[in-house]
Amino acid sequence: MQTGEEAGEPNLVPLLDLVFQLIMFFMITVNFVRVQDLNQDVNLPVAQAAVPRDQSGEEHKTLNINRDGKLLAPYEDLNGGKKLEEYLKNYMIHLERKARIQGDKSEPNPLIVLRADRDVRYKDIWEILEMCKSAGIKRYQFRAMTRASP
Amino acid sequence: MNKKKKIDEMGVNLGIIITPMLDMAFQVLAFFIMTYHPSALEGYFDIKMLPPEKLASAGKQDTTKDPGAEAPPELTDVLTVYVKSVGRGQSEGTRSEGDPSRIELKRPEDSNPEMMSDMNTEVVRKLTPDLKDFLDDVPMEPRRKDALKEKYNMALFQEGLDKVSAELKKFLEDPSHIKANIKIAPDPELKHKYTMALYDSCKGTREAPLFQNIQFVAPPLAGKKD
Repeated sequence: MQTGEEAGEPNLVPLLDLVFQLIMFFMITVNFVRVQDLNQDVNLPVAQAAVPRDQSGEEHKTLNINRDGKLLAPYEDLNGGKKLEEYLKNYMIHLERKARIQGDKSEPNPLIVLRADRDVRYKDIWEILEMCKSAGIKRYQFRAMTRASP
Repeated sequence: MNKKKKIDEMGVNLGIIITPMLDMAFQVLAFFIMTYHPSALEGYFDIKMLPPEKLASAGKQDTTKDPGAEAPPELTDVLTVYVKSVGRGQSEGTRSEGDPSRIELKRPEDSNPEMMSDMNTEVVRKLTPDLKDFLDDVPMEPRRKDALKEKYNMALFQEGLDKVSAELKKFLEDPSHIKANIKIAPDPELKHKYTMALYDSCKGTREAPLFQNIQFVAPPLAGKKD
């Protein structure tokens, strides 16, 4: 026989089910990216050919480029001259040293991710790519929106 | 009270204690909600670079010395799509510097590129000034005006790209072109969004894919500062 006290107790099981479902949703859709990499001032272009973001977590540097072709945070200090090239050369040396310490004899092969504004000129992007290439980097990626924002 | 009563009766409470689990679940949920980022729509694609001098020898065998990305395949059967942009300080109707002006396609057998779309055709020339005047006369936020112009320009460009896609499809239907490659050669001043739209057209759709190996040609003035 149930007492009045027992009948008034909330049933937490459906609530727990719901919470677990929400957790599952967020776990599946979560992107563990470095938030500082994603500069919200960059208006990315739309390219339906772009595939959802790679989540392999490999060694990479993200360069945010504004509509004037300038680098944005966290690399805004590297604008002008060959500062970016110098920085990337040092980065490559650092990666090589790190690999040697870990006993890895293969050449470092980092990825450069370009988050370029939709209105930036082709030559400005290319200029940055040339500097990356001069620093010995061989892999590049463009970021784009997979569909236009509503 | 109830728990206490049960313990009193049976000595031990063997039921699952939900409250701490629920607390934990809410903490995990809060973490995911806070770290959830709206940029989930962002996607990526790999870039393959070609040096500018190779542009002149398009269609011939390409022995790229330092191609940038992983060694690209031998480019023997190459199409090149050129996009000319409105020159610096100039404007053509609703289009200004950095917006597209012409699209040209050069097939392997062609000596000169063929015009695919001229965004300065008679029809556009007649209609665009009216639209421009209309937009200039209507009281509207400048941002909204720019957005409308951009939509119109992109629609014009897309019309040209549809012609390019149709040509590419026709080209690939020929079994001898099964290993064909494509290069994109935008004007140095062309805005990035148009380059991406062009890339999309060359790539095709999931249902009707076109080229998988798309290479970007360096602008003629690459390496030179303004």
